[in-house]
Amino acid sequence: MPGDPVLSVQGLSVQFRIGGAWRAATRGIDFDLAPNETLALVGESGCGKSITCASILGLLGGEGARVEGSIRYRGREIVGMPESELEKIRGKEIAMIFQEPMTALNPVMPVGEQIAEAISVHLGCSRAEAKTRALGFMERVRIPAAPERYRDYPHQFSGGMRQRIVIAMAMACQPRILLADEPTTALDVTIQAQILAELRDLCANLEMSMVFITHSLGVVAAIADRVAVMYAGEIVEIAPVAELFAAPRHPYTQALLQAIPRVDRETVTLRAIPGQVPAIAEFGSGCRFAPRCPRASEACQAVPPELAARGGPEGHRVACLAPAPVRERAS
Amino acid sequence: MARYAILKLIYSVPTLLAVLTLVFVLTRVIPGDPALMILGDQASPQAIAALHVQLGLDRPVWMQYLHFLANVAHGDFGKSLVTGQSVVDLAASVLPSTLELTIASLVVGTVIGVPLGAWAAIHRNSMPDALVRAGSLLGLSLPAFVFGILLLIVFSVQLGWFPVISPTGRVSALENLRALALPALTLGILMAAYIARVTRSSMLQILGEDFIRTARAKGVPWRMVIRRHALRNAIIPVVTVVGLYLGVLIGNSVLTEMVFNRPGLGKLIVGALTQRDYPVLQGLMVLYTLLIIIANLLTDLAYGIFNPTVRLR
Ligand SMILES: Nc1ncnc2c1ncn2[C@@H]1O[C@H](COP(=O)(O)OP(=O)(O)O)[C@@H](O)[C@H]1O
Ligand SMILES: [Mg+2]
Repeated sequence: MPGDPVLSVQGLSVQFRIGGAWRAATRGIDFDLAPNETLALVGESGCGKSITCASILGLLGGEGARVEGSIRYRGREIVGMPESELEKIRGKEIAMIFQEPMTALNPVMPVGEQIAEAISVHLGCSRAEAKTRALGFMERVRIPAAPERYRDYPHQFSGGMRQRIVIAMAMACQPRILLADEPTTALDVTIQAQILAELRDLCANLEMSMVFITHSLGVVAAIADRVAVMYAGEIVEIAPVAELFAAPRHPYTQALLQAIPRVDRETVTLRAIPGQVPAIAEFGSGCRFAPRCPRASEACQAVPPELAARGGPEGHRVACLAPAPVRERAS
Repeated sequence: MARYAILKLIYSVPTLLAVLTLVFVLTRVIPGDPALMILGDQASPQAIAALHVQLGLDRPVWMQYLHFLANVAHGDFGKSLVTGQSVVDLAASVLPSTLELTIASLVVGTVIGVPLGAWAAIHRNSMPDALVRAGSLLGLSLPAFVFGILLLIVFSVQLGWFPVISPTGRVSALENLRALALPALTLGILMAAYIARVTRSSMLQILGEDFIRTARAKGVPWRMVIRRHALRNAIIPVVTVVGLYLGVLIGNSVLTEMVFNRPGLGKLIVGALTQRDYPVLQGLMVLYTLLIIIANLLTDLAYGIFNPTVRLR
């Protein structure tokens, strides 16, 4: 992997106070993000993707939530960083886009001003300069007639256009990392494809790294370099995209891949995984997938398996005591 | 915007007509003969009949109704049965002081209520929130006259900062302001209790919205998030509620006017009621309707200013 990681997450655990007790919604999250790399976080809804992202921006915390572990952005620790420091990183160094474009924008502020605000907050430039720059980014994300639409309000735009505005807002200070939390889930399929393509181009042109959250493996294939698969608050497998699709090792990943409908086959078989994702309060101490796992043994129930190479290549790690064997490669 | 206002005005014509009809019907079904009321029980039948002709009471009801509408259209509400003054002149003489009081208490209520409500919401479930909530509850349950009398005792009687009785006739602007201070404070603080409560709940809702998280995610400092994003949105429902309250305020100023002995519409209407001065009562009811229609119109316009999603319609 070229260069030091821009982001390094180690042993991250997000905990919520539920009914008087602290419960860990995520546990032992480890991953690095290299410069210019796109890492996809995949998992069913509720597995902790969004809160992982939010904790990277220091947006969690306060009364009912706490964050443990370490999140290093270019060597600086984000966990426990004072709010005033965090404000300088948010939007400037690490930016975020959200799932729901319909509610992510302030309804009573012109969209152009919302983009310009990010610029003037961080770069401290004049109103006119911020506006020019904001317009530049509106054009870059292909909003037609940007100068005329600068003073329009969010309700005057379609969902796809709003998401473009959110993206322009995130790009406005040319951050090094973009956290994209299911940015296309709420959009039509055709718009999805456009936005994905544009995000990929923007990342390449602006030399950004991206953490891309999705629950769709199809989207992963289209955008990511590496994938981390999450289950019930943990990363169960992490690998380069091609590798993961070709040779998944964790039983959960295997089941997920089998559940993708394939158009190139005569009959589409959807192999559902029996059982349900446990709720936060029901998490056991061992492997959280064990209750649903066909290969689970007693050892699996006792201690959580570590994310490790387990006989495979160093870049492909899996949190399973009985992973699928490494496939022989024709070299 | 102008079109919107004109449209709104046109829509209020049926309301106005309904109120006029109601007023007409009410004054006809109230027992008692107005001529008797004016002339006294000792009047001769001839005099009563003459007055009936003069007042138009001998004509069929539908003609009386049309006549009444025509008079209203000309701004003629008749004369007071008690003083003989024209109803319009009477109302015009007290309208300024009522409007003055209403607007001043609105300003006081907003200036105190909005920041307090926002402050409480930001510090939800802690000391400031508890204080504002307790204060608001007190304000909402305290009758205006009790609070007014308290203020009067402390600031006028004890400290002598403000006049005990509002001066009448022409006075300097400063005198006028001094006389206005306590009544406006009475109504304003009670209104603030209400506004603070509405602002707080509106603000709490807005603070949980996605766009607040978006603003934070782009690095906007918390104070700016509150001011630029949260408050600007939280104020929208407050505008509506304040507008609705405005009608109540105009109607309820009577107790305050009594306590501070201020001239005003409220006092006038109570006077007319006790003296069975029907023309005055009738005229004031129409005036109230007009005022409330205007207040609603202004509220709609203000709402449009604060909320761009309705502005374009
Ligand atoms: N503020 C909160 N308080 C309690 N539980 C929360 C809170 N936010 C999220 N959770 C829980 O944490 C888990 C992970 O949520 P999230 O990260 O939003 O999932 P997703 O993978 O769908 O993005 C969910 O079970 C959710 O219910
Ligand atoms: Mg999510």
